[in-house]
Amino acid sequence: MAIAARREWPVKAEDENELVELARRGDRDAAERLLLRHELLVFRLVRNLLPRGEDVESAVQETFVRALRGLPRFAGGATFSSWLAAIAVNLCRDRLRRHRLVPFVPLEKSGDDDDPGPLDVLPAATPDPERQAMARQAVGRVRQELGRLPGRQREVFALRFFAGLDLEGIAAALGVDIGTVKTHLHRGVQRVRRAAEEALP
Amino acid sequence: MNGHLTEDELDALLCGDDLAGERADHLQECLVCRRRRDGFLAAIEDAAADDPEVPTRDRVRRAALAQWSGRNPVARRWWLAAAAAVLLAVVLPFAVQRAPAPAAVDTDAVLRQVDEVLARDPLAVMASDDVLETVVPAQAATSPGGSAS
Repeated sequence: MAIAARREWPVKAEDENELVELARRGDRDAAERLLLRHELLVFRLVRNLLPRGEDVESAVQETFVRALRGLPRFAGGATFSSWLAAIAVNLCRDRLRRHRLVPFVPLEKSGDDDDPGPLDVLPAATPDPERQAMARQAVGRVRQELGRLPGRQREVFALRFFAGLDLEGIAAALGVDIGTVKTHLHRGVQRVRRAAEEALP
Repeated sequence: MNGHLTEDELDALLCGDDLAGERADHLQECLVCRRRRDGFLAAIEDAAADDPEVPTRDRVRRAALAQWSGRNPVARRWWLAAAAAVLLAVVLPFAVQRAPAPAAVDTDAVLRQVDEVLARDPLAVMASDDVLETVVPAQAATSPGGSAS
């Protein structure tokens, strides 16, 4: 009876604070719901902060575990998404530091691996082949330039455009003020946009 | 200012800032500026589009949950409490059944047995009075075993 009621509950009022509170008390369902809500944010962030070829899945899994274990320390001052994003960013920083990794993204596919290169990710729905090729190239340039951005600029850019956080959320995730976020975002956008435009007509 | 958006204006727009009135109007009317904005946003959207498949996401999420619940202190406390309760439920009935009932001791009967044994022991006559007094104080002279002295 109690289990049935608990399983029905998240379908309706999924107040995030309630989910956090339940997960904090060890409720596995609530924890799963929380992860479900935010997993794409983490996947996108990690994939764009770590260099291609790094084990994104293990980094995402570790982010989730760190977040769930750290729930008792989640004060609720920030949103859960920016708190989770902060954990993902810190984990990526750790990995980059530990392995001295350079988040460089090659423009062309490396060769015999199954992992699609940046130019292969666009769906073939674009009608005009020339436009499609240009769009693919623009995506490749975006990723390449993103990999070349200085660490903080790259983090701000990824949090804004891949994790979808607003400026306040980014500031909370990185522990900086909004002015700093704006400065890094402006510089990052400037570089990435120009790189993308070089590939566009 | 009637020209196209400047680089700075375009960057500010993409960072989330609003354009001033007439610049916003220009953007509405200018195909070139809109294409520059939309081209960048489309490239970003496409770059973010290769999300992992649902089975991959499920696998990663479940692995994390399993790792978490294995070491979750709250879950562990519940597990330990449940284990302790089961253990008590199994062991307690056996422990109660096997505990011996405390027997009442009939001291008079014991003393009578001791006296009988002493009476049958031929060496008892060799025991000195003070040994008897130590072993069976006060009653040594009157009890049936005391007749040996």
